[in-house]
Amino acid sequence: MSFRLICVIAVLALCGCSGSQMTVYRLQKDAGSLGSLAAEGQLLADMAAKAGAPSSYVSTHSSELGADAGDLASVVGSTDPTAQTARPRHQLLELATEATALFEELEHAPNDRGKAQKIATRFGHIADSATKIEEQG
Amino acid sequence: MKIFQIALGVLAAIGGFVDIGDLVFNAQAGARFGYELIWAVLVGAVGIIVYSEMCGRVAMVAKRPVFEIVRDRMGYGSGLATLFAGQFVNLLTCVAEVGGIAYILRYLLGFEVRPMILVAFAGLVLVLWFFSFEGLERVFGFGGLLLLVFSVAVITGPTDWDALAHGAIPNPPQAAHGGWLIWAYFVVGVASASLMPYEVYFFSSGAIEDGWAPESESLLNKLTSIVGFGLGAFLAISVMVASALIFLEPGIDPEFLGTVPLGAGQPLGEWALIVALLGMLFAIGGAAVDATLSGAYSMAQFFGWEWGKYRKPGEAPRFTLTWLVFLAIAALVVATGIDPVMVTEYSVIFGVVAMPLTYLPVLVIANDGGYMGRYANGPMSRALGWAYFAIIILLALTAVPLLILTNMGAG
Repeated sequence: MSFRLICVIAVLALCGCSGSQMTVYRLQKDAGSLGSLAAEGQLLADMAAKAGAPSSYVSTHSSELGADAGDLASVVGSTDPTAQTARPRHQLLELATEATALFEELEHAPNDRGKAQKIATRFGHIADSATKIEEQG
Repeated sequence: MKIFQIALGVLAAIGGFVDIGDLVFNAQAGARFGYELIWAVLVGAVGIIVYSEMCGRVAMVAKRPVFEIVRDRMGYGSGLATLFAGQFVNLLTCVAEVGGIAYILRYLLGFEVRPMILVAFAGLVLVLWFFSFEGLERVFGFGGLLLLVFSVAVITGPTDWDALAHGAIPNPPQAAHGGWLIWAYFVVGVASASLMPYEVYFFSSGAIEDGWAPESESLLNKLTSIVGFGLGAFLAISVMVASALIFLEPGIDPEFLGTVPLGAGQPLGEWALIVALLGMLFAIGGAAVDATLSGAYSMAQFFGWEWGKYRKPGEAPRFTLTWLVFLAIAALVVATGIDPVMVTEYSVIFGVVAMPLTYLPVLVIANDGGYMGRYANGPMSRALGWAYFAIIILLALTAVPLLILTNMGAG
């Protein structure tokens, strides 16, 4: 009996923890993740712009990073904002969606040096904006 | 003495220090903590040098590999438990390494990952079937040295040598780099990765494969342990520092295997990125060989089957079948789409729990003057052996709680 009670409490606790509200803590974590992805995207696109990496590598790694950015965008999009996090959450969602699109562009045109340069610049802005959201909470 | 004779140590060390998990783990440690965790690599390196030298010596004197001795000293039941624990970790490691090879091939060739898993599986089967033990040691051991490109990146980069020297001494975490728990998780992970039991199973079996005798190869055993594992530690530190130089400031957290070669490729250019990927291919391939053969050695030695790469595959059929099954299971598990990096992090942490069961019998026998004669541990080896056994117990007790409390280091 007591074991069942413990199980029920554990399930309820887990359900409670996995609520879909965008708290400040969660916003900071997600912004940190996007900042990391965007900074890596900038590094990768910069190397592609300077012909500093094989196209197979640029394409494959962009695809991996883009999948992560897409997952992040859908997770952020599925959360309910609080009064405090509504604006930065919306901004974070837009940034994550843009990052996903940029990774997709880089994946499909790893040899286009001009485009890669522009993508690197955009990733730089996304990384800066994500860092600001993380710091301001 | 030919330089090539230390290849056993180089291969065993590369399997232990720079396999897929270590590459990602060390890159993450560098990206998060800068040079702060270099000392943890050194702690693991001295530990594995002490115990691999002991295992090689015991194997030479007893003419029996470590796993046979574990079974004899611990009894059949405890030996069987050690076998199961060890095989579980071996299999996890094998899964991760086969997946790692497939991913590296994908970065190099651009194909989808599933066909690359098949290529990795077929390549490993062919290599293990046709190559001699010496051939395996040399191809993977010395091929893995391409990772020295990370050392070139460190030497030619803006490395802060004072901070690097400071990082070689144990130091508490800085506030900016996260809390104590995450720091402790990385310390345990970095130190433990180099002490995985499969390395000593492989090393002691390799000593027998290479036909070492205590009268003629004692010095070679010491040299192989020190140079081989020392080199492994040097490569691991190079990856960590190269990652600190490139990833720490922009706040990149390397979660993919593909992020690691950027540590060399970003500062040195395309050729360095390709060399880093090739070095990773050989290192991860070597780790796959280590883990697969180690699994087959352990099974064969425990159940008393014919074993050894010096025999033709048909002369040791159950040994051959075991490594074939190991690789097949690994390839099938990877084909499900599981993340090999995550698998290897679990294998390191669970491997820690099995460590005391492996190392205690070795230490007891190496200390036993009646059994080892003039090759028994001297006062220095004895003291180091017990000190490291205490560290191993500490690692074993803290690994799983830290894994849970830190959400695998994610915080």
